[in-house]
Amino acid sequence: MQDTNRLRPFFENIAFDRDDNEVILNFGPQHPSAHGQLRLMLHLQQEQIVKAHPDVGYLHRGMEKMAENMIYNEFLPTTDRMDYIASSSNNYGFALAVEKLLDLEVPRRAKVIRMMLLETNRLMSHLFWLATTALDIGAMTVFLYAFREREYLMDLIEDYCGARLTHAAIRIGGVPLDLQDTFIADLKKFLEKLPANIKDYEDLLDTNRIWLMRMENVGVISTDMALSWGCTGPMLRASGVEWDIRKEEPYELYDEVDFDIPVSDKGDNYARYKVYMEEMRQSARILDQLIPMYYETTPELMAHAPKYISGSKLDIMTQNYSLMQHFVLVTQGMRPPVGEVYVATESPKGELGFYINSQGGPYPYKLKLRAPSFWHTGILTDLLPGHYIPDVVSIIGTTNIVFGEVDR
Amino acid sequence: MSIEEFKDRNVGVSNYYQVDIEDYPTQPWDKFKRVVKRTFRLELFVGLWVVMREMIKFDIHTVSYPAEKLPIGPRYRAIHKLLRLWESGYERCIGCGLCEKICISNCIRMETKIDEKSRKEVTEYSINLGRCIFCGYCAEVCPELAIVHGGRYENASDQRAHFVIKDDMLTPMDELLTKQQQEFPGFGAVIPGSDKSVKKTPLAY
Ligand code: SF4
Ligand code: SF4
Repeated sequence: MQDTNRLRPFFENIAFDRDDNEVILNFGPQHPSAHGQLRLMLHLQQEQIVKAHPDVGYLHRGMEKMAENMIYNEFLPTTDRMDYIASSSNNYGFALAVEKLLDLEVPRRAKVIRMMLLETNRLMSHLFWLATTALDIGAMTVFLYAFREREYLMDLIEDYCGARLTHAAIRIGGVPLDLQDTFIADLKKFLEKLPANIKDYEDLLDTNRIWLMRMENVGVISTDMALSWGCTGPMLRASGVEWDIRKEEPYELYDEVDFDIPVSDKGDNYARYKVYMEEMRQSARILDQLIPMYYETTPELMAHAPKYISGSKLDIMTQNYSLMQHFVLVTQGMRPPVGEVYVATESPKGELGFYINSQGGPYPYKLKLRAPSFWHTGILTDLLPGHYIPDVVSIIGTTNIVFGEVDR
Repeated sequence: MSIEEFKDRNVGVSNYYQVDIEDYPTQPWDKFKRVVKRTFRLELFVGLWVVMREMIKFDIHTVSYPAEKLPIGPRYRAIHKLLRLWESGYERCIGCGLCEKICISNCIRMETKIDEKSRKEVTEYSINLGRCIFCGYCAEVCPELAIVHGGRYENASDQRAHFVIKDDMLTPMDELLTKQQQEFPGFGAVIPGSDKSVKKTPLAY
């Protein structure tokens, strides 16, 4: 306990009565390159880190508890606020989990639109990652260019669902809207330009001597370490593990489109950078294939399951039974069968999992969110010791953590 | 999947490929060679050229914001509007309360009463914009297409709780008469063209 009569610094269980010249540096929670509300307590020996404690929870909103007091539909916009850089992928993870619980078949057009949203979100997230990491390391130009491209994507999504950041663009059982007329044309225009843009970023960064010095052999995560810390997504693939949920347990239409997964066995920052860049190309490839698929579908957007899903607006406005059902579903909420599911999807940052335990009531009995960034924050404990202060910034950058998701 | 299964699974068909990174040198001599190579490589000029090329394109998109505004899409979810019926000019809202129920942040409040013609009348309808997360669910559930989102997004206020009340949101009569009221194509809208599939409306029965 702290002795209140003596003036000594007292920081949460860290004893300060050491004789060595270790310094404790609090990195964040307001540090701009801490990607949000990360507080890192770094024990420093000169400039070298000997111990690192990531301290999370500054953005904690208790989403898992909130979910227990909401009907399933109401919780969906809340998931937007997890990984707010790619919010549709969270919406999707939740919607897919509930659909699995209800055993619903989603119409094909909804699937194509969902895939488009997921991949545009992946691009948005990766562009954002590139921009902020480059900015942290000092490449301001890349930041501006990557944000410019991200802006096109945000406009695209804004035209689709009416919001730029918190999309809420996916519903349990389908999607709420069809693509607007200009979407495909705009998307094509964007996809035409994207390869040239990615090449520009690579021209600026790939061989840049400063970038290489900050990236190569910095933050090396070995395969074992990545696996034992529960890394997923690009973090895992850059450490030499071939694992992508889109390939291994395909959901939606990922088994119908052609795409490859980049991996690297280097495990350092540079490998992660390369993996992200390649993934952007692959996402563009998927989007390219989705455009013809969209035209082959029929216009249904929502699954037909009157017990769980409200009818279309047209049905609600013209048919009495639909209207009554809609009232019941909105005021009381759907009641999924008793059971539990865990559904993992490959969000831009890694494995995003939703576990739902339903007791047959309109609220989930328990909902657990498995957010990739949380585990990627944990690995900093093992990863940072031995590195120098400037490396902290580049390592946090390439782990791509978003605090909405870490703290939930 | 256990770790054995994981290692044994067939990844050959799953299209994984190595990204192209040169091996890092480990020997001192190789390291030295790399240093020399990097020192004389002209990659900084490539970067300069990329920036230069972007600059001489003069592809400038600066918008001097309060004076000029970017157009926003018709589906944009900003401050709500309450619409009126086209023919009669009555308020569309029937006071069913679905929007109040579904609202995630509980920011819609309404008061209703039964008027002398024993119809339900909405006397008060307010949205606390300080709490609203603009999720679009109210527009989505409304069975009458009454509450929709509008395009007005500048809602800065000097108070935390900033409300819009019914009078602010309801389409004014003169606007309706001059046909300026606009249907909302975003969340909750009827799929365009679906009126063709309606055989009979309730009134036809
Ligand atoms: S947009 Fe969402 S939060 Fe805002 S009033 Fe409508 S339902 Fe409530
Ligand atoms: S859902 Fe529509 S009709 Fe019902 S109270 Fe709200 S605005 Fe009125």
